[in-house]
Amino acid sequence: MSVKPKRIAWLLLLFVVGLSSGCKTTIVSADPNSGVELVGERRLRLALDRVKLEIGSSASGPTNAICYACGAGEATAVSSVLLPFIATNLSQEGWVIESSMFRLRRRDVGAADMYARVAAESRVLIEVAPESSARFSVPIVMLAYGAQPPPTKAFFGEYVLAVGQPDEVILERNLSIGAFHQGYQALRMVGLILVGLALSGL
Amino acid sequence: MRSGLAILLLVCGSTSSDVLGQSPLPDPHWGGFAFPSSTREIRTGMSVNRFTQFDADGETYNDIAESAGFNIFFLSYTDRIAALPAWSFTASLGAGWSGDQPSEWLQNNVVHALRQQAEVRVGEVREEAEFAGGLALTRWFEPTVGSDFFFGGGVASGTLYHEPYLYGGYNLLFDGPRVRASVLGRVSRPIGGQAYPEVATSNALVQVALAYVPERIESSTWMMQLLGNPEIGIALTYDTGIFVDIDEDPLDTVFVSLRVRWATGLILETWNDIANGSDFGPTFGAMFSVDLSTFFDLDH
Repeated sequence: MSVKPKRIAWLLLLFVVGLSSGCKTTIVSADPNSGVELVGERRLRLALDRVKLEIGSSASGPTNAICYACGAGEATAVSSVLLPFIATNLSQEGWVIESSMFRLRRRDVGAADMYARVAAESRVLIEVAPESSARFSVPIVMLAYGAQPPPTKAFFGEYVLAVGQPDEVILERNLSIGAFHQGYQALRMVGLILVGLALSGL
Repeated sequence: MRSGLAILLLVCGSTSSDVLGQSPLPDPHWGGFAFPSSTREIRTGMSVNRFTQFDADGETYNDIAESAGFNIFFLSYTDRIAALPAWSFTASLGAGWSGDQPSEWLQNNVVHALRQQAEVRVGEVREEAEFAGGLALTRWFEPTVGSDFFFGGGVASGTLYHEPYLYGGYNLLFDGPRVRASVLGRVSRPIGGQAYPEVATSNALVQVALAYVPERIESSTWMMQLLGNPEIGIALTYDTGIFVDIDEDPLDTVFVSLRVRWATGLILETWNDIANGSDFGPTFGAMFSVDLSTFFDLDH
């Protein structure tokens, strides 16, 4: 039986389209504009367009993660993500970045639904040598409680990530969490383009 | 409504992405987006580009005696260099075939039919296996959130042609209207390949782009929410030309491009030489790609 390369290619395209339409993608996305970064001699940049958010139903995720909780008791859903950063130290002294410098809060819910950092000892994430840059990732875990909204949707919404001391913020960025069927998005856009083409020919 | 759609229609109207180095050649010389990506992506997709020998009036572009549709599946990886975080790299590989379809169908049966334009005649058609690959390095300068300068260089190679190149540019996002303005300059030294042995000895292109950049994943307007609240951008490209006429002078071209990019990393792009007022040579193309890192947990 001969194998036709074109047939394989079209099957590959079908696979990619099927993957993008069949799988629901849950992501963390950063607002590319608003925020604070790159000030002073110690600069921290969130090197993120998007990253996959893992959602589970039990207390899993990296054991060394910075943990935020919305409620108390036994969590009904757990999400985890690795946020990538680039730190630049222009000073003559080393720069120690600790987990206690990171703060995450929701900006689209009331005070009762705010995330609070689960008490834990601060630990060193990285030490940036003088006059150098370093790339590192910070594992974040969020815990949700209760059944309403459905636990897997409890994380969807808007967040603010801040790094630094309360009186000296060195990074503040807005984040969004949501889930999408990519193929359906593309199909809707293609439909709009085709309608536009047809109207342009009238 | 009609005027609002006009941009879409102009771009897709009669004929022709990439993020530099993400989809391999020949996208940059067909009008595809040539701006580099600064963050980690593992991108796969397909690009389609059409070289049209005749236009709707039967005029020929140059002495290349065949039309071609280049269908290339690609896989690319972009990331920051761990030891040099201000630098990013993109490595890409592509393979596919050249043939009349689906680009002839898109050109004549979709775009020209919907716009009630005459069909483009097709003579001889190139039908070969096609390969492409590339490697690019970019240095980033990021003075504030939403603005960056970059410069870099790379090599693209494949069955169509080979090309070492240098580039530089600037991105600036205006917070009020949520519009990003970008400009890129690129110079290269094309070398003929198996498909096109005769190419210009030097090339330059300038690309200017504007994009609406949403603030967050969800939108408060129903239309944008229906579409998934994507980033929508257009670009205008002037290319001194990689193809040459019978006197071996480069044939310059102007392209218009449309890119739709969702927060998930899904990208749809199309580009067209309609801005050139012509409909032959490197006429149009399109690209569909996804970021595989949003489907699979690659870090844990």
